[in-house]
Amino acid sequence: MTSENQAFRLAGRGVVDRSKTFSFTFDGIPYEGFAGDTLASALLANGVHLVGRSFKYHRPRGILTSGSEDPSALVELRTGARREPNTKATVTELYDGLEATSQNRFPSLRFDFLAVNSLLSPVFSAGFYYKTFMWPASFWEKLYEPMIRRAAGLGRAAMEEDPDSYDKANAFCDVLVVGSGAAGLMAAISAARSGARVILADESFAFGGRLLAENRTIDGINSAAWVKAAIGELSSLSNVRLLPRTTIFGAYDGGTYGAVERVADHLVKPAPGQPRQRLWRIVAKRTIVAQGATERPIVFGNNDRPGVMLASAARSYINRYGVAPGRTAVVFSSNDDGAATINDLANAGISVAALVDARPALPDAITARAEALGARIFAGGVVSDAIGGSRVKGACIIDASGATHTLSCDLIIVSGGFNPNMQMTTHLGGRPQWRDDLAAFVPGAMPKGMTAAGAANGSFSLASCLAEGARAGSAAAADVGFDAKPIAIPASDEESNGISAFWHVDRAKHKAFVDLQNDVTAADVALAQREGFSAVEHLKRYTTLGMATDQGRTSSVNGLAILAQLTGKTIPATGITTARPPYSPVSLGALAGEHRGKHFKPTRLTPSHNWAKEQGAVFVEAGLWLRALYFPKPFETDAQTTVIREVNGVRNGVGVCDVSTLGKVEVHGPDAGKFLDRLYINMMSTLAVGRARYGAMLREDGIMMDDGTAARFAEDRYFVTTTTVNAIKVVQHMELCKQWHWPDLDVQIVPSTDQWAQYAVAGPRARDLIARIVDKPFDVSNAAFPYMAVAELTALGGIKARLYRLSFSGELAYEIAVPARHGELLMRTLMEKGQDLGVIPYGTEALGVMRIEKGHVGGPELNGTTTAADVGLGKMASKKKDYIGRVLAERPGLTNPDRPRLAGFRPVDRAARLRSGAHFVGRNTEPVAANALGHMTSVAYSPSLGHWVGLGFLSGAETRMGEIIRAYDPVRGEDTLVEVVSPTFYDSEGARLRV
Amino acid sequence: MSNPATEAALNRSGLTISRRDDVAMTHVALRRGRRADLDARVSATLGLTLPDTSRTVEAAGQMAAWAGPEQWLVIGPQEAGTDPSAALAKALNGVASVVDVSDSRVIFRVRGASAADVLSLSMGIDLHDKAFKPGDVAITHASHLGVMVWRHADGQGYDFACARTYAVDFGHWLEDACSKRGVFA
Amino acid sequence: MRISCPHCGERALDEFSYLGDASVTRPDPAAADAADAFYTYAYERRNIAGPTQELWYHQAGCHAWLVVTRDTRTHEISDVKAAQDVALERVNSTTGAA
Repeated sequence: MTSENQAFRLAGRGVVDRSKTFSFTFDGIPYEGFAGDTLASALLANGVHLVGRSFKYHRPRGILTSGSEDPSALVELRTGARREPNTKATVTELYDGLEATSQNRFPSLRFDFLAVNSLLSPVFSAGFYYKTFMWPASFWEKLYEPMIRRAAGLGRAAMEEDPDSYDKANAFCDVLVVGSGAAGLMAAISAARSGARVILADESFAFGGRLLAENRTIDGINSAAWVKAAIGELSSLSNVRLLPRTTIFGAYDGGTYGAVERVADHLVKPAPGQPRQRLWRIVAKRTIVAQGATERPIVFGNNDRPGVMLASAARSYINRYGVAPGRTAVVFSSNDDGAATINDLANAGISVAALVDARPALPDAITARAEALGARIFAGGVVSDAIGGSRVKGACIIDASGATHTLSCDLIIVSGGFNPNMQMTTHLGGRPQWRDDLAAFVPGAMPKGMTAAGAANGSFSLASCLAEGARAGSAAAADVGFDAKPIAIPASDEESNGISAFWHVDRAKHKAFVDLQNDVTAADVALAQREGFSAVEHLKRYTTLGMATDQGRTSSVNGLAILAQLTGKTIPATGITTARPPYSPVSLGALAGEHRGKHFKPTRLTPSHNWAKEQGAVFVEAGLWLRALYFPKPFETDAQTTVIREVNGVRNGVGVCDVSTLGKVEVHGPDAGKFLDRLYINMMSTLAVGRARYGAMLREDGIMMDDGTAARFAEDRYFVTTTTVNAIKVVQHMELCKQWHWPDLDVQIVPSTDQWAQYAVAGPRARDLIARIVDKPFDVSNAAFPYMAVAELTALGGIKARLYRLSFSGELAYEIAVPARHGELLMRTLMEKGQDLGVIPYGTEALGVMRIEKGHVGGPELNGTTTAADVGLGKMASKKKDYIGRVLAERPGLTNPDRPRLAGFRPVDRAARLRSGAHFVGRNTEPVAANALGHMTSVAYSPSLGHWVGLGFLSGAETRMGEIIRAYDPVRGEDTLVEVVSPTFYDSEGARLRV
Repeated sequence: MSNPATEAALNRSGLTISRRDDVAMTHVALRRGRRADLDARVSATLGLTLPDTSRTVEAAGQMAAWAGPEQWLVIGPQEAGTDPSAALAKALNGVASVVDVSDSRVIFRVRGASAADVLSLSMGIDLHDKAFKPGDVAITHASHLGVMVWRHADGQGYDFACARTYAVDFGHWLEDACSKRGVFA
Repeated sequence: MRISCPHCGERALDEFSYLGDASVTRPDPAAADAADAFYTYAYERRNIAGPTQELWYHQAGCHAWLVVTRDTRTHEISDVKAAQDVALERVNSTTGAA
């Protein structure tokens, strides 16, 4: 079966599908692998061990592990817009047409120019960022930073926009099982059989965990076959959701878990409409962490050379993928599990040159087996150094007596014991516990609803994994109310799990790496300790040990064990760094989901949006709304021309503006008037039925919150408007006042923004137009329907409507509202019936110009720092009642007469342009911050006056009327003399709006 | 439908999405201490008992959905020349605040045997049979849009009432969720 | 984090918005020391390591304000009440005392 180009593929082993051959390329060279391979197993099948160069020293790196903990087998996957850097070859599912490239090499993987960095290693030692590049400062931008960017770092992100889509999904379950090895499968089965809703997630594309990687027997059958049967049962149950290719990356409060499912990462590109990845939010009543354990390397010289491999990884490649990771191996272990790898090696036809074990005595069975295989046995010995550059060529061994031996090999199998994968148990602050008998940290106190089972819990034998998983599954289901009966524990073959803690070969001649991803050596740890960084969290930050894509899963415990040795403390006294989400990297695309580009936020459209679009309106985003900014005519080449035409159209004829975006709230109930009195600074309970009143509301600290109008349609029915952007905030505030401050008031609040399409109809001809819209016999004359009158009526032949005699523009004006579905009809009818009156639509830009001409305050003035008095509304505040913000608005700081107050400004040179943001200083004063008197907030070119006008806040505004001051704009380099005037530039008596 | 691919995917999912434009919606909020009076008048007018928990009740073509504490949404047919909200306001005068919200929201209807499976992935609330039964209603959000959702009495579908000004966005999201999940879930 | 709204049931954090300390109430504006009392009410907060009472608003749900008892060290929520019920009790007890 072994094809010629897969020279290291083993006949008759593994669970890959040999009927499906996949072609792929690595650095442009074509290879073949099988369905069920990872990129790493397929590369190894073709004898490729050298896959990348390291972060700092550009050392050749290979495949250390067979899982998501791999620190060094990082490649760029795909090309162009789909290029994805730092992908772990050890978990990348092989597909037909896969393209991978090695990264961090220059110019090629085999001959790397920057490997010279290795010779500069004193420069790159612990804390190098902090030491080397500090001086001279001017070198940073020009030399150091570009050099570091070139030399260090990992892969390159794609430069084009990601063409794929990402999905977000939610799931709820009774029991979430994380990991599908022996413990996870038993947990899922025992919980599922009780009827509980179970989710079983595994980061791999195949369920089974180590059961696929070990040659074990369960209930008399091979462990991989047992997995198949177990998954068969689970997938037949409707209460079970199986999530392969799914990493549970974080535990959050309240039983919430984050997960990323790699939906289409194993395809050249996703099918049409299919997301590449899906971000899951899983809410679980109970969670069983069954994520197994990660084998740790032993730190020795050149332990980063391609061909140095963890024992568990070697067994994975042999048993799961049917690949021989080499021809001749030296096994270096400190425990039975690692040493027993000689069996798997022998079964795969790999010759075992030596078994080196740090323990002085080995179990008889292992010694006997090693002897039978003709391996040399070095009990109490160590591998001090690997020999070889881009591939291991031999091992340097120091035996128990101290004598040195050099053996030829192309593979060094290493095992320093196992660290339970209990990161998830610490995400919410849990602290792990040290167990001397395992030489490992195990989960300590866990968050509510979470348990750990199997190797993740420090129970390493297969028998204990099966039993503990089954117990955890039924206990979890029973906990949430299911009748979970104990299930039969399958029989498994025997094993031994002896270990003696061994971390670091201190007699190494070459660089001995603790963290392969960050190129942190044992010497760096020692240096950091000597320089005073002897707390684990300091060590991590100073050396970068344990950071980046592998999150230190092969390095953290080794690093702190070495630190413990140096400081003479125990490992538990030394402590462990805190694991935080994510467990393994999550792409930004998955986190964003569909909320990107135009869909980052929802878009609100007014009822007559389509009509405005037909008219060629230019739109502007206002909060979430799209509003018509102005309506250009084909011959108008600039916005200013259009806006001037629109303002003149309103001031001389009639215009219509869509004001549907205003926040609208129905406030009903016998106490509605009393309630509004407490919300607004002015009286609302005295408002007559059929009338409206402008009102302002404060925050409790005395600062302006919002302004708008209140209309009273009946004794117990008010209708209030808010500014567009504050609608949600004001409703929230009203609900707080009603529910929390004054729960005894009988008042009901119904947000109604979307109910009404509302249009301002403004200009001297507004009455003529409105008269044609409302149904007879409604009388719109000034006498019958004066300024600030409101009415419920019908319009357009029987459609419910509301009419308000309000004016923001300063002209005779109305606002007319109809139920939203009729909004477009109303707009079209206004345009049609007003044709002979010269009606025009106008946008928010013209609206803004007219409000500045009238001196009405808007967003730039209600900016979260101004009081009612500051914006000229001080006289409106009632003295007869309490209201939100009254007491604190009277604080000395807010009533200080020197506070900048609202004023109007016009340029002395009438041709000059004004700028918002310009600072005011006295005419003959130095323009420095200490002399600032305030600033300009809103400016516009006033078509009505023929020059620029501005609103702003000026210290002592009332006493400076007529004074000439400077409007100084250092950003644009402008300095303009302006005259301080009343903020009402246009029709200050209000004669035009009362006609 | 926004495009043929979405439509095709939706067809494969076996779900149908429709928009209900022919309904009158009235918001009813209890006046303080008038619950007994309100119940009596609602019973006389609509033949319904207003629910105290997040449920819907139906009678003679009218539905009342719990819409928050001491608030309900009454939904019924909108026939030409009638004003159901005004009629209800008259009937409930003094015991409830009654507001016509017929135009505040747009109702989307999703029907199909797989509706629960497909939509459960898209919603932040648990739509499982045990957690969201026929007749249940929830005020929540979907994607980033506020929505009120209730499950049909036969369990085969849902109504989603979303703010009218977000309806275009919401409609796209719903189509997308149904088509994508129907095929790839 | 998940909050059990007494009206809607358990919902994810993103349906809620946070206001602040629920152990303070709006002072009597007619009192002689109103200026000081309002200052304290608006600005002075204790930073408690342990159970706190907080006001949350079910923004995306039923629009109810809630009094949530949360342990700031663990985020464990031990109690959620409708703010209106808490406030009515407060108002009634004040009225009863007077």
